[in-house]
Amino acid sequence: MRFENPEIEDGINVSKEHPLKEFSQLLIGLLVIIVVAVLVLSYSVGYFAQKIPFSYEEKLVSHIDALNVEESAQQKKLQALADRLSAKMDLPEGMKITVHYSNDATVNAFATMGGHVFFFKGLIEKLPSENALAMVMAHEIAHIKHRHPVVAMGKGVTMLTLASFVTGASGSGAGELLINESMTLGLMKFSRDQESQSDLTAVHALNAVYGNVQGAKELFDVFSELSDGAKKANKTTANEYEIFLSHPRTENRWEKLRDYSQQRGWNLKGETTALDFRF
Amino acid sequence: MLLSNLEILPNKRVVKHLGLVQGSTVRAKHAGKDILASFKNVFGGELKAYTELMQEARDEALQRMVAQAESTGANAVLNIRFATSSVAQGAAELFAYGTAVVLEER
Repeated sequence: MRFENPEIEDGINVSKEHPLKEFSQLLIGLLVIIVVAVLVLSYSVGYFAQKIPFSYEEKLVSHIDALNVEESAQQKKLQALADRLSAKMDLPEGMKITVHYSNDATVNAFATMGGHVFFFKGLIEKLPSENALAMVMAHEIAHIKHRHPVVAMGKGVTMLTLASFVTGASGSGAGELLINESMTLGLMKFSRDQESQSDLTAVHALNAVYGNVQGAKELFDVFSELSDGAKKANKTTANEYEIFLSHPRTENRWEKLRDYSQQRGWNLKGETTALDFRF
Repeated sequence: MLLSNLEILPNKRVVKHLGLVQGSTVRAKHAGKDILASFKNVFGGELKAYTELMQEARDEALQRMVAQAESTGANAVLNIRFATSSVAQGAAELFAYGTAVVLEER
């Protein structure tokens, strides 16, 4: 028997391939899976969240102290305006709009879970007429009518659950979101589509109540001035005007509404009602 | 390629000894199967995904050992052994080794 110890070929047990090649393949694969999962989940959650009965939504937020109404003269006026508008917006049965007024200088208004709409003094002070205020109000009511807050909340919770599942985080971010929901109520982000859907619904209500859509024009003029002013002062609009955080400002928002109204033969201009707010 | 656990085969003669050849692999199943296996753990029974995992790992290790043997010009691997170790959770290392030889009919 002869003995030999030949060199054995390299690369049989250990691959010669550069590890970064496999890494990039895996990374791309993982990203594709995540993107698909996010799209499928957010679409289906968005669809099913709309089916959640409004009464469940109300119950879910009923324990949050921040949603208790602080009655004041301004709050009552705003509530009366909301009632006038919502009467023309054929809201689903059992849907109740509750308006809150805050004496804060923040330039913002937002709609949140359970049919609650918040108005800040800062925003109302900038508005020229009741019509413009009605446009904001109708826009926020439209969010509630189309169930945008519950959809946004559902998507947020789902994405956090997914993130904690993917990263294997032990503390569930979704649980924390639900616990701290009172803090995140005002931070709800609606998509561009949801914003324009609400704009259209709002302009319908505006025309039904006032017989013209002058309020929408005035509102978007105010928005343009605010953002131009902020740009000139070289400040980020985000810090000063929270409304631009929660409402993506698109240049053509008014143009879209103008065309929409013209198609329906609505009056673009008309009498406006003065805003009788005493601060 | 003749593979055997024996050191000496009947009616065969080792004409050339070519040294140790070895094949190893570390494999894992995808996360879905790991989750399924953890559910199965609750009820007990065969963790089929892991049986399959070990089978695949043994096959691959053996194939690599044979590839090494072929590269040395052997026509048989004798005295083959298997070994296993745990490298990462849910992954198995399988290691197969033996002696590459050239056999001849006696």
